[in-house]
Amino acid sequence: MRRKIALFLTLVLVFTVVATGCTKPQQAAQEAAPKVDFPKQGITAICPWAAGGGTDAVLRGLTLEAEKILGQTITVVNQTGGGGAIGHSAIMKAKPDGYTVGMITFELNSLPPQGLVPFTYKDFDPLMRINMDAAALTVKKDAPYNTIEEFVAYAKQHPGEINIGNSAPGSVWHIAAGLMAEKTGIQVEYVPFEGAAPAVTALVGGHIEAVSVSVPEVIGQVEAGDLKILGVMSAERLPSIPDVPTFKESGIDVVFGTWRGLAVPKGTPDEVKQILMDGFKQAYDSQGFQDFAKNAGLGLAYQDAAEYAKFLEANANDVAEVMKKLGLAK
Amino acid sequence: MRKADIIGGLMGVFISAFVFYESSKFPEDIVMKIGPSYFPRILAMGLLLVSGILILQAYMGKSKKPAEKFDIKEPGIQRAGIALLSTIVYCMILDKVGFIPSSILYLVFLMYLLEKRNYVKMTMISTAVVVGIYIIFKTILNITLPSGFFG
Amino acid sequence: MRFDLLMQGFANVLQLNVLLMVVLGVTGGIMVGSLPGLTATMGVALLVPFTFGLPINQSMAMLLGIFCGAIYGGSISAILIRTPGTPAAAATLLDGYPLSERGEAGRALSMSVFASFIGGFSGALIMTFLSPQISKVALKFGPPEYFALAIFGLSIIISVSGNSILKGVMAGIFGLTLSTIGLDPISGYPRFTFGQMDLFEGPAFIPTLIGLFALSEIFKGVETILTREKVDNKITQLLPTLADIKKCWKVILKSSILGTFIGSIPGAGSDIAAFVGYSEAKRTSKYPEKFGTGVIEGVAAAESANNACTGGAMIPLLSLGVPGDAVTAVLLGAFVIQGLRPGPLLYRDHMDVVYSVFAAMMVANIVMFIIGALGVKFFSKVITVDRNILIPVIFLLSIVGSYAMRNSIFDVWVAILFGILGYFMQRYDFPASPILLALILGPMAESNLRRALVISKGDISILFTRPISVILLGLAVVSLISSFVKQKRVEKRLAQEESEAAFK
Repeated sequence: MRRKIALFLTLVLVFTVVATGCTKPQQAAQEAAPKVDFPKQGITAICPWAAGGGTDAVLRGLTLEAEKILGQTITVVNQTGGGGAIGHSAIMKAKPDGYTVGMITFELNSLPPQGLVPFTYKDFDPLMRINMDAAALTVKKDAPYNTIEEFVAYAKQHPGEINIGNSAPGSVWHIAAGLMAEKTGIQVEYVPFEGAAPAVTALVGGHIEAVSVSVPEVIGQVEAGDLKILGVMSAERLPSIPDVPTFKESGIDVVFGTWRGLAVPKGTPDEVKQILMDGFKQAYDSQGFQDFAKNAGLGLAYQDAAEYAKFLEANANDVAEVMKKLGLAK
Repeated sequence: MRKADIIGGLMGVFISAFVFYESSKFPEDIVMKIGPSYFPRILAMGLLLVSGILILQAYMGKSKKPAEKFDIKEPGIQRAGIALLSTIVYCMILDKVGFIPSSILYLVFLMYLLEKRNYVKMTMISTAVVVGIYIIFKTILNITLPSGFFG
Repeated sequence: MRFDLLMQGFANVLQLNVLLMVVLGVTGGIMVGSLPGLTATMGVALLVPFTFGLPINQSMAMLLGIFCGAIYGGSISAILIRTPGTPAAAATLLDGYPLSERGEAGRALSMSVFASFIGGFSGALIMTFLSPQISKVALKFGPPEYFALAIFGLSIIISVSGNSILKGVMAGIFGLTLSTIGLDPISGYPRFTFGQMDLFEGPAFIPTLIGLFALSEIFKGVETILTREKVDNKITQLLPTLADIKKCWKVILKSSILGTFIGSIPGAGSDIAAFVGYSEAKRTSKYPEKFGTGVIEGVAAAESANNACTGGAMIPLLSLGVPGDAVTAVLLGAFVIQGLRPGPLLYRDHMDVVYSVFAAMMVANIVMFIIGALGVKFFSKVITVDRNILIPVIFLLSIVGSYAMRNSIFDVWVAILFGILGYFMQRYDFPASPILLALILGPMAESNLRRALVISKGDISILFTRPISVILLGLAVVSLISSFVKQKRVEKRLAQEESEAAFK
């Protein structure tokens, strides 16, 4: 019996040693905080999407840098489920003391119109917008159309025959495709998948005719020569694919995409918010994060808190309106 | 086993009825017949059928060997019930009291329930295990556990 | 296939610092895998940020090490304490746990490590030599094929039904009904959620698994602790005996090939592969009725299939740039962070990286075999701990594991609820595995059927006019009938034995 216990304790000891070895050395605070003494302890960052996904990667990339600047460890907590609803609601319900920040994503504006969640963008204090990724219309390389105009013409001749894949019902890419169909007056079918990757795979395999997901999600297959992008729904052409025209250039007024940003629960003190904003802005500007964003093909689009708040309001109204038209909202 | 089969069957019938009732509220798909309620209804029908057969078999005395009786007065069952209750209490206080203290209490209590009586050893092992788990999850893997008052 | 590049790949991996990463990864992976609630996906995802700064060889070596280690690690807790450490090990416990209850934990563990190694290594070999060819087949899988695959998987329910087909089918349908809880995958309408956000994605899979298998078993453990005699689990071997290997080699080879192929189909992962491997071994066995009571082939089949899946899942990732399962989806991110984009371009421009990955995969499996075999003695010490200490610790681990997946107390309640359900099901002879299988395959069947019908404008013939889907549906029918007939025979014999016993 004694031997067993000894073994057990050794086991625990081994884990302890391993653990201490792995702990990152805490960086000393580089800046003395103005007015309020914040942060005095570790910060929690809530991610409404699963570990290993795109949103999680961005948040972890950013907090890795922000830890050095704020001088405290930042723990990323993935509270997933309900298509982002669980995580957003967890951010909203957290104590507004600055020790909980959260990543808010497009779904913050697309969930409320469906009448499924008890929050809206008004329940959050935005800190900054990080990125925006425009939707793009991507088709198979050997498809009989090469431009947006040809695609629209083809769709008009073959009503209901084009299946456009998206990542989930009511998702940003579903809405993007719906918006495009509405503006061009074409009739298409929407096929929801369990995420963007399966939709792209189905397109490569020729099971559907198009996808309306973002550029980073198709760029690999485009470069490999399996797929081609007909147009992007951004205001201007994207630097990563300068040859691809925007929908606006083709006379179709659609600018649509997903976005991500940081926010804290409503009612967080202004001084604390200011420290977080400054800290995360520095992290955003750091070489480490910029390199990360470039590698990940992230469409960086910084906005400060005031601009972001305005953007959130406008975006919420737009999204709700579109979803109503598409029959996705209640 | 006969009684158990009948109860199991009745539960199946109940679930099936519930699914039918709930799915009648689902919106119909206009384009196709296969909407949100299609799958649940087929399953409810299947469940109804299988449950019916199970009840029928039990009724006709075709159930298999009798299982041990579920006797609430039996000490083993009572112990399992107390373990369940203590687990429920543990989960309720987990958020408030914090992971480390509530878990140590929980472990010591369970060991006591299972008739271990060496209190020093029980406390030591419980503390070691809880701290070990805490380190693996929180420090190495960066997964948060409920912190409560005491961190 | 370029041997010079493969040799170069091995040279890249067989450096001290890279090997160290593999060893670290495999050890960490085994630990993560054996803890309930921590899956291979989670292990890899949590460590990706730490590999940001490492060169690609080292970071891939470590991540692949975790991947392989975790899939094997899941079997340890499945065998020893009936708690599948990862969903992939759910099929392993069917025969692994009865073996250890009988005092043959060492035999089961050593077979598990051996089968895992052969499976994982074959998967890596197949991936090295046949990636482009296999990925072409994988692309042929559209919604109708996935539907057919799910139906084929569901046909296995009968073979994991234990003593009563009727109760197995009932559990299966119940599981399928459970899987419809949450937002409808096609229309987005919330079904049976009672307005609870926590139910939008249905009952979370890991807590359900922990409840049905681990908690139910320890409730039973608490009940019987004083009346049950202690089993002496003597561990004498690190490797399976020649007799066991002889018994299992056919099963292992078949499972390895099946597992690799299932892994290569995007969206079908190691949990499905393990069940298919298990059921195939049972179907072709001379004594199928013994499966579920502690047959070594059961462990071998499940473990070789789920580990082969690791190599299989890498195939579409490397050659098409689409992940084969949840873990490889995270690996895709790890590549991208390094500035590399898996897919045909990686093959064209970075052959060295591709071949280093091949080499790393093989080395990771060899390292896993060595560490696993050395660990058999160590792991199995777990069950020699007094039960009145072990049971409380398993309770705690089950709760923590259910919580950790999504940081959600709600999930802990789910686990407890399924623990109670599982306890009564076990008591009254309702098998739990069909529920599990249904939860994995139910959403796949429903969403792909409806997706297929969206594409075909409601024309059901799309399911019966495409070769792969017709073959899979045909296989489903064959497997259904043959296992039904076999099972009936078993039931008859059991009834006979029972009545004979009653006479005595």
